[in-house]
Amino acid sequence: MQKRQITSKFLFRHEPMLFIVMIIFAIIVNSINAAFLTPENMFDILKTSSITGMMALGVMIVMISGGIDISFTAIATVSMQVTVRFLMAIDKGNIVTAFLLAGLIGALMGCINGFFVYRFKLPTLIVTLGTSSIFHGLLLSVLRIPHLYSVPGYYFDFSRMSLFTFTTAGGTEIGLSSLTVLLFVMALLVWLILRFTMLGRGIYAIGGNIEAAKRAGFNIMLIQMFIYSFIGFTAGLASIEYVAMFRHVHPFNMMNMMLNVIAAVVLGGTSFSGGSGTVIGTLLGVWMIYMITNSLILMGVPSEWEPVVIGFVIIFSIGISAMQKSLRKTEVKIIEN
Amino acid sequence: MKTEHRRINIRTTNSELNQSLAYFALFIFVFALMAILQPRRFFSGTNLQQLAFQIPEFGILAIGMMVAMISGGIDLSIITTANLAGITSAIVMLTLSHRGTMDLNALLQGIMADESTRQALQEAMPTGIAMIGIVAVTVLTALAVGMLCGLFNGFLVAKVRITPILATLGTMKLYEGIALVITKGSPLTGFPDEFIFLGSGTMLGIPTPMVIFILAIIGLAIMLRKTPLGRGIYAVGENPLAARYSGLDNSKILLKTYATTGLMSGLAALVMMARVDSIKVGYGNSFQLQSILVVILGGVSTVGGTGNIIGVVFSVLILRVISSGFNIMGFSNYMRNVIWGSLLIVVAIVISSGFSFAKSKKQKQQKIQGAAPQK
Amino acid sequence: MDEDYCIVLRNISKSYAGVEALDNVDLSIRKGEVHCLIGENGSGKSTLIKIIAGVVTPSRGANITVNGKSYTKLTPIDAIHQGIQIIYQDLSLFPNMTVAENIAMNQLLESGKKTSTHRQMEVIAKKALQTIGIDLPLDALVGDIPIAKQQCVAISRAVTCGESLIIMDEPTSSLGKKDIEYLFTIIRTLKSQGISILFVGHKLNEIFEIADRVTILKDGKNLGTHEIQELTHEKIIELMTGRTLAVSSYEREYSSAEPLLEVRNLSKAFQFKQVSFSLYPGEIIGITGLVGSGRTELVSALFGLNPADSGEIFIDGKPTTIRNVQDGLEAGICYVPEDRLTQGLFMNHSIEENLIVTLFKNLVSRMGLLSTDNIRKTSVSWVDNLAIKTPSVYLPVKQLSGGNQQRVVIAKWLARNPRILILDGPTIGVDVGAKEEIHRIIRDLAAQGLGIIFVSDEAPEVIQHSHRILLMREGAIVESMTSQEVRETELLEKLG
Repeated sequence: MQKRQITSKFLFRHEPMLFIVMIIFAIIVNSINAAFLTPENMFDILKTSSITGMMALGVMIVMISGGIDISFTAIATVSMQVTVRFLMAIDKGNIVTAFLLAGLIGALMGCINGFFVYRFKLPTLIVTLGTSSIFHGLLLSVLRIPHLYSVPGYYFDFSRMSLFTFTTAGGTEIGLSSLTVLLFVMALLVWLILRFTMLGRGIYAIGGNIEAAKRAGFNIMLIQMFIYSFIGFTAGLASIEYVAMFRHVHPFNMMNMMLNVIAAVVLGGTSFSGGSGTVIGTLLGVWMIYMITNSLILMGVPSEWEPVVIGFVIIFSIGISAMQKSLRKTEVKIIEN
Repeated sequence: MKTEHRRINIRTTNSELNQSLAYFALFIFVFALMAILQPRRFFSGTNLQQLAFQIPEFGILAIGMMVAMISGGIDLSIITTANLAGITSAIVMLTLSHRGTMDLNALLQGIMADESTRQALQEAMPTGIAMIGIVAVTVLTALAVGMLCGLFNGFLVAKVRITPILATLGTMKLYEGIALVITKGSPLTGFPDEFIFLGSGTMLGIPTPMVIFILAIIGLAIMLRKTPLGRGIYAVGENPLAARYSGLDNSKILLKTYATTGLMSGLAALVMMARVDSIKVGYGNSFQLQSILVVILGGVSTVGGTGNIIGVVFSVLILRVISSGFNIMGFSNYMRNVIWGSLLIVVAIVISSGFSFAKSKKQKQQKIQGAAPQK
Repeated sequence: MDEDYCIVLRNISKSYAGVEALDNVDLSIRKGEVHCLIGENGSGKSTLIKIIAGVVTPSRGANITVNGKSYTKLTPIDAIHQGIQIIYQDLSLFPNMTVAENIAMNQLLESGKKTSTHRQMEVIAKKALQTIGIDLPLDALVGDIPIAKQQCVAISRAVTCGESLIIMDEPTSSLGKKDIEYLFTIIRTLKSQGISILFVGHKLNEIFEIADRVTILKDGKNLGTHEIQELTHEKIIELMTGRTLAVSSYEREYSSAEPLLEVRNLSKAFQFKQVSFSLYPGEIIGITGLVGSGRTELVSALFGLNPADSGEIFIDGKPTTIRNVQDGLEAGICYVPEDRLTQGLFMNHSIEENLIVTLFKNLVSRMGLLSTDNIRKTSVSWVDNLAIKTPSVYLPVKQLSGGNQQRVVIAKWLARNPRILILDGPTIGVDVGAKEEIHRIIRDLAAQGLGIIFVSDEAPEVIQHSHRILLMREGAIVESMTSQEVRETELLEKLG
């Protein structure tokens, strides 16, 4: 019984399984196209996935608390537009102020979501479906020229910064991109909050049993406002990362990222019904998604197939989760007897 | 103790009648409002005609969504299902209509956009019985594809036990992806006149799509109220555990629920395609939020188990009248989205605070108990 | 004088929307005593304990003195600071968090700290477990451990902050005999440390075992507080219902020709094994045994909800397979579940909709459509048959009283004309008066030739209302006796 418990515990932990799957996947893809497992490619994946990763951290927190937020890409788009235009208009600012301003704007918009969720106890899907339309619609009604192709240089300069640069055998210079570093910093922050603060415990508590959380004395209002403003904050940060990476401001591109972010979070083991989720898992989920899309490109699969594959991946990974859950229940029953 | 039930002879209960009257009143109110604000343009022939032709495609989608929501779930993939159904049936129709005169790839690359080519090809299409047969096959294809997509949704929800939000979020992307792979984003157009009739013709003065819509409403109404499946859907939505304990087959019911929603999506696709003589990935995207709004406004609880088709139909009418008002007043698409989004939240708030004046003391007391956050 | 008491409540009243839940209730709990609070549903028990825990505010004029300090009302913080903790019936634990986290949670929240480490939580948890004298795996997720252990987690959690009073709301409802003993040992340990326990319960034998004093609530009024030595079973029932119940056992004859139902060697892994018995038309069998003995599992296997792995079932002598609920229904078996709220009723649906949910196939006319007339006739007749008190069949079921709700569930199954009716805990959460009426309904059904099986926790109920009693323990039927043969005290012993 001892041995069985240990192995089953391992199998039931999502993150190790995901990691193994990633390794196997990488090996298979690499055998088809050896350009996959190269340092250049790996670091490139790390870099391009940072935007999704940043938003995924926010989505993870919402899901742990048992809710869902589909307005975060709208929040990101609005933050991006407002911040970049504003700083350009007053002709001041640098990358740091951009990040801070966008984060603030995002957090404020997130507060609106938090207000509706807490004050009226509305279903989170409905609230964020509504605010997504409101935020995005307002933005586009107000903007005359939605695209901005000329932005100050400090955005792009930031994305070109990197830590630990080195030169590969092939002569290219690669390093840990600043965007990735920013993601790691945020991931660390989130991990610290979840593991060491009562706020973090409160997030898990609400997701596990909100009635019990109320009775235990958690400040539900504070926690929920934090949750929804946090995802707004990360969305704001992610939007500036977008500008840094792509050198333009776009009204629609970030909106299309929503499903990939959610897919990454779910792939990473965060339960949709709430109560569980880890930072490591979410990061792995993000990298897995990007590994998949990257490998599709390397294997020459036409880009139209990407949403199909991602759709399958979501369904497949949730299906496995659902099965694991029911396996766990039967195991508990047996132990009980 | 003999109870006085015999006095109630009408088919619906008192409260249902009250509810329907309330919706009717709201509809008249909105209609009147529009009429007062812009009498000339609102009552113009073109506007009313537009309304009559546009209401059905949205309405059919909405009543499909309603079925999924009554069962306690939701279907976020109705638009992409409709698109996929429309695209596949369009391909079937065009291939059959232009057999021998051109190949599929050219079609997909938008050859129809060229006026002269289109003229020539359209003249070469079969007519009469042959064409009617082709249209019939097209209709069946759209309905079948819609149902298949719905069945897959149902399978994920009922057998694999994925929550409806996630499952249909995934399939939404999946179906869109498949449609993109097939069409690479280009529109399909150049449909035969016999098919266009479904979207732009009239039968005895009533626009064909409206006839289709009315038939769909009647069909679903009968299904929901008067068949075991319909009652089963309400039961599963209200309390799936009790449904199981009462001997109902939850899996089968859910499969059929989502299949029905998919069927409606397929039907809506046909109407849409026929009205604008084309189909493309992305058509109808703005209907996503509105369909949920209309179902909630129509009285279906966000957790399922209750709801009436009459409420939803009136809500469809109300929303379309408002939308027509937007047209007249020149609101941009984006502004409309803002309003729909705001309405969704406002309606949800009003409904969740429960029309307190209508509830009894005991119900209010039960509300005090409180509940966990819903998705 | 107040120093001997950890809490004294005076003039506690509370109304909800015109309904008076509590009417001038006084209650005092001594330091270090186990005080039991008993009363039927609707007696005001849960309102009272919520007022003590600070979750509900009493009406004006109330006075609450805790540890010498006087309040007109308590807030949750007040209560917590005064060392009052409440363990809800559903335990209010976080299934997704570990044992250590759950135990330490209240204390951490109370201390107002913003941060916490695993180490700290472990320390708090270990200390609490030590106080009670039990051992639990600190890293296990609470959702993965059995109910009895979850209860220990809940108690340990209460102990971390409950220096004065711990309120336990129906703590034994999901526990087996061994675990109840364990619980009582813990309660005695706490008592010896000067902590008072307010124990809300309804099983009289448990009350007699653990209580020092008993307070009886009825219709929001305190009928009196008594030392346990002053009371007997009968006296309590008399106080609660205002009448003495004649204890008569069931005398009706039944035909013992062909068994209606015969079960041979029915087994299901980890649930029940080698179960064999027969049921005759007109016979009432009472199955009893402690929680965990496999009673519900067995009867739900007969219905098809939880099909057996092996064994045989014979209906009217013919072998029948029951693999799912549809099979059970075909065989003429109907099952009234334990928890009517979550398993038996569609709360927002009308009485009529609830009544016909099992009858769709029968009410369908040609063309496969349900006939509204037939539906109405059916629902009206059943409401009349079972005397369900309601002005209309269209009333949502959630507006009915517990007893009437139970009748709706029973009616819904009777409408299928079953030959065998299984009732799992049919009188749980039903007032004493309504209990009798439900049993009268059951007797009438038996008189009409149905075979009835009912599952119950309560020895007196089983003895009074059945022909034969089957006693289960750990998945097997260990004894079968007629109700004439056995007396309550004997049965209670056998249960132990």
